[in-house]
Parts: sequence; C-alpha cells; structure tokens
Amino acid sequence: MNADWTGGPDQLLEADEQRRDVARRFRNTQLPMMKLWTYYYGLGGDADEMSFDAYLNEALHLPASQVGLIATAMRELCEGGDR
Amino acid sequence: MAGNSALTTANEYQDLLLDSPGFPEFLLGLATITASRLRGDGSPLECSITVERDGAPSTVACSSEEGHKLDETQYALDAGPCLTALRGQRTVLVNDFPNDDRWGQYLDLIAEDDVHSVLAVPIVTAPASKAALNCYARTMHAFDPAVVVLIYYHAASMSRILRLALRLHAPEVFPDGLRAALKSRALVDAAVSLVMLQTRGGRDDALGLLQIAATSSNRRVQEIAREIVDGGSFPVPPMGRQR
Repeated sequence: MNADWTGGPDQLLEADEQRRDVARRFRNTQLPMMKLWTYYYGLGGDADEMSFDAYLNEALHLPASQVGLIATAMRELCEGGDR
Repeated sequence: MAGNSALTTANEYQDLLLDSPGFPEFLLGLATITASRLRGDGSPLECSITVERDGAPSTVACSSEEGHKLDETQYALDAGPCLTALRGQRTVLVNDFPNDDRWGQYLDLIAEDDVHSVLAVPIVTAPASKAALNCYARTMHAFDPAVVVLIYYHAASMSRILRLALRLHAPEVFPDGLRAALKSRALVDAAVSLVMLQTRGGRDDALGLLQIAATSSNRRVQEIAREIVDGGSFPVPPMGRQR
C-alpha cells in the first residue's frame, strides 16, 4: 500500500494539496492516530499504520481510494461515529 | 437422579447458554433455574451464583433482589459465608444465622433481611476462576441432609456448562474499540464483496460507492454496508461505470 507515485506532475500537485488539507484537519480534530487508524481499518482501509502515519505527516502519498477512507473515518469519528 | 432428568437439565443449560447474550445474563438464568428447581417442595429459597475470574471483575447473579443485597453486602465487607465458600472452595453451612458468631459485622448488616439458613457450596470450574452456589432460606435448619445432597447435585451438574460459559464469554481480549473495528470491517468487507459481484468492478470502486452513498445520504458507511448485506438496498453506481 506504500504506493509509489504514478500520476503526472499536475496530479501530484493536487494530491499534495489534498494531503495538506487532510493532515490539517487531522491536527484540528486532535484524534489519537491509533484511534483513527483503527476506525479507518473498520471502514475497509488497507494502509498499514506506518504509511498512514506518514501520510498524515505529509511524508508519503497514498492511493486516492485510501485517502477517501481516511477522510470518511475522520468525518464519522468527529460526528461520534465510534459509538 | 434419573438419567432422563440429568439429560433435561443439561439441555436446558445448553439452551440457556445459547440464548444468553452475555455472561451475566447466563449466570442469572442459571441462578433462576436452580432456585425454581430447589423450591420444588414450595419452601421459599433464593439462590445466587458467584464467579471470580483472574483479571476480570466478579460476577454475581441472584434469583431475587433480596438475595442480591445479601451478596453485595458480603462484597462490601469482603467477608461472609458465600465468599468463604468461593475463595476457600469448601462448603459453608449456617443453620441459625442470628446465633452464629462466625460472621460478626455481616450479621449486623443483614439483620433485617430475616435470613436464617445459608448453604454455600463451591462449583468446580477452570483453574483461573472460582465459583460458588449460594442458597438462602428464611427458616432455621432449612438445609437438612437431603436438601444438602440435592444442592450438591445441582452445583456439580452446572460445573460443565459453567466452564463452557467461561470459555465462551472469556474476558475481553481486545479493548472495545478494536472489537468494534473488527465487526465493522467484517460488515464492510461483506458489502464490498456484494457490490463487486453486482458491478463486476474492483474493490476500490466498491469502497468508493459505499462512501458516496454514505456521504450523499449523510449516514455512516457501516449503515450503508448493513443495508447492502441485509439485501435492503444497493447503491447505484455513478453514470458511466456500467458496462
């Protein structure tokens, strides 16, 4: 799941921007990393915890499908989704 | 005891275990069944079952509110006939409670409960746990030798089912969050498989559909997955994906 980047330069810029946005939202939620990963795993997420951590620290890219799941996990957890 | 009766009891215990959502419910059922069996001759009698497990909180179940209070008082004092039977794994018989000087402070606290006889017998369970069957009666000398034998029989008969229940309802190995995640993952995986089959698409697309369905209806992914698995609804793939 530690995907090497395969898109073009424009897509990379877009992905960078998206990642910056997700990482910023993650910091704002103040959710523990492990809790978010566990919930993301529950939604069907496939990235390992280290890649996940690296993504949220803007050090690595993940496939778009995984990024979508991270965003969904954050949204649901912030709405009290871990009931 | 006739063979048939033993078989009925075993079946009843098994049904109880299968029908109980958790260990406390199972234990309560066991105490209730036992009390109703022992009350056969009509004499009022209450039963409780106490289980202590290493690394897990104790579980006490009682056939009546009154008995529950008697058990709780023992736990509050950390002493009493049932705890003695449980922790020492030996039988404790009290024939005339108010005049039995072994139980000091416990007696003062339960004085108004009008309990005169207590019989507590150990139940054999797994090495890492201890259990006891406790019986309370309002009359003095309620437990004559015949009744004591009957209660021994009941305690012995529930040993096997109690060991099974302890194994089935082992203390949570995973914290709640992990268990919830495992359940959620199983549900999502099942829904994804169904969507893949229906759309003849890949896993990422199926996961995407689930998320779109959740976001657009402002619901959780798990709820969408549950509906798909239950056959209630199916997210419509976005235009252009159908072949």
